[in-house]
Amino acid sequence: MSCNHHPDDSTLFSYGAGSLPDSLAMVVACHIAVCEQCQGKVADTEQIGLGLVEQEPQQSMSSHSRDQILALLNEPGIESSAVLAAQHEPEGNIPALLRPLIGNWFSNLHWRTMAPGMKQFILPASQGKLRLLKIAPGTLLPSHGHNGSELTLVLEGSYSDELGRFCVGDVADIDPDMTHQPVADTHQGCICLIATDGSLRFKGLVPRLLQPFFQL
Amino acid sequence: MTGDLRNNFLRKTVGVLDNSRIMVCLRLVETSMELKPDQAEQKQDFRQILVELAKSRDKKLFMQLYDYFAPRLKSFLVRKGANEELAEELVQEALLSVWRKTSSYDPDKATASTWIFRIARNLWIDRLRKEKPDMLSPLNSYPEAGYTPSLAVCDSGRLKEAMDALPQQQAQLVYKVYYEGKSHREIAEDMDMPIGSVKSGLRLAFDKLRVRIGGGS
Repeated sequence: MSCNHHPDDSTLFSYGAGSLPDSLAMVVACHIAVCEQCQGKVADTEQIGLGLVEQEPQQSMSSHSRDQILALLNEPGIESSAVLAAQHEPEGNIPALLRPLIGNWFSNLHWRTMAPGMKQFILPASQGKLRLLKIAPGTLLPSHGHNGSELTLVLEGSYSDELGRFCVGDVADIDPDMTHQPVADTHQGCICLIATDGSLRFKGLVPRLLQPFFQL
Repeated sequence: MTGDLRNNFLRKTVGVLDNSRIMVCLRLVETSMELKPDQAEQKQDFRQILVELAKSRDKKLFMQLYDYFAPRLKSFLVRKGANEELAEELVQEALLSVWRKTSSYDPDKATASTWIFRIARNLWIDRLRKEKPDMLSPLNSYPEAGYTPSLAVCDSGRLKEAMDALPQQQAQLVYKVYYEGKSHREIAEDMDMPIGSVKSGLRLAFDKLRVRIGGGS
């Protein structure tokens, strides 16, 4: 897929190093699954990581570890159910990486209404917040800034904000100093996967008051 | 961190070259340095071993990989914040998964070490996610998209040169990402600078390292 908007190089760099909070890492993983350009960059970061590991003093494994792994080699590998499910049920509009977590179809999710034209579905994450956001056609989101990183991946439809138009596969890697006000394009609703590792800063009073209720 | 690297971090707190001069130095060193054949060959062998393993399922052959990678992966994971026990558990899991997945390894798409490193990295991210209850870990259990690495074998000597050539602050950012496993936000707090500056510093460092070790733009 050719995407127009990609995660920032610094984000890919941290992803490749395994240092991105898992919520943000999930968004990046879903993007690179469809973006060759970013796959190449992540491969570069992996090479750098390897080179740096080579410079480290190695840490020897405990004495029983060789025997342990040799015993494990005899056990038949179990194809994980996720792999099997993915192979046998190719249909679905949810990205393949998320299917083991939430199933195959957006329509089967229990969406929670946040505001008129805005629904969310919270996904598990241990660092930061990960959510799906479903925005009705033409809906204008409250203007907000961020206290940390925010990554948004478009999964269906498209939206526009101060940075441009974001279509399926595009990622918005928002700088924290930036305030933006996304609006879903009018022909179709928009579904995004959004990860944040800080709270959002809303300009309006009402969204600020609602913040705690929606885990923003 | 090795002694050399540490010295270098110290040295950079004193004097810093400007970017253009660094780039000139980088190019000079780059043209004068060739990949050390023994190192390149060794890594080539690992690629061969993986391909061979898929066919022969030879445990002795696998243990060659194991003996080389286990201590390196352990060091990587301990750096990321795993304790001794967890690091070893993940190393075993990663290398077992290497053994089981050899048939899906494509030598044209990734070097052996990149492939193995990626498996360990994904297991680590999955483990972080597992800290929360009722969570599955999809990153590693899902068949990978075909990666196309633009770098060939990475020579750690070249990389060291490249790290040495980074301005002090950028080297520090890279250090915090790779060795301390810190997120952009944590680094911003640590170094008392805006996240935007953390990101732009990492961007610059990434660019230079890629140029220096022969990939990217």
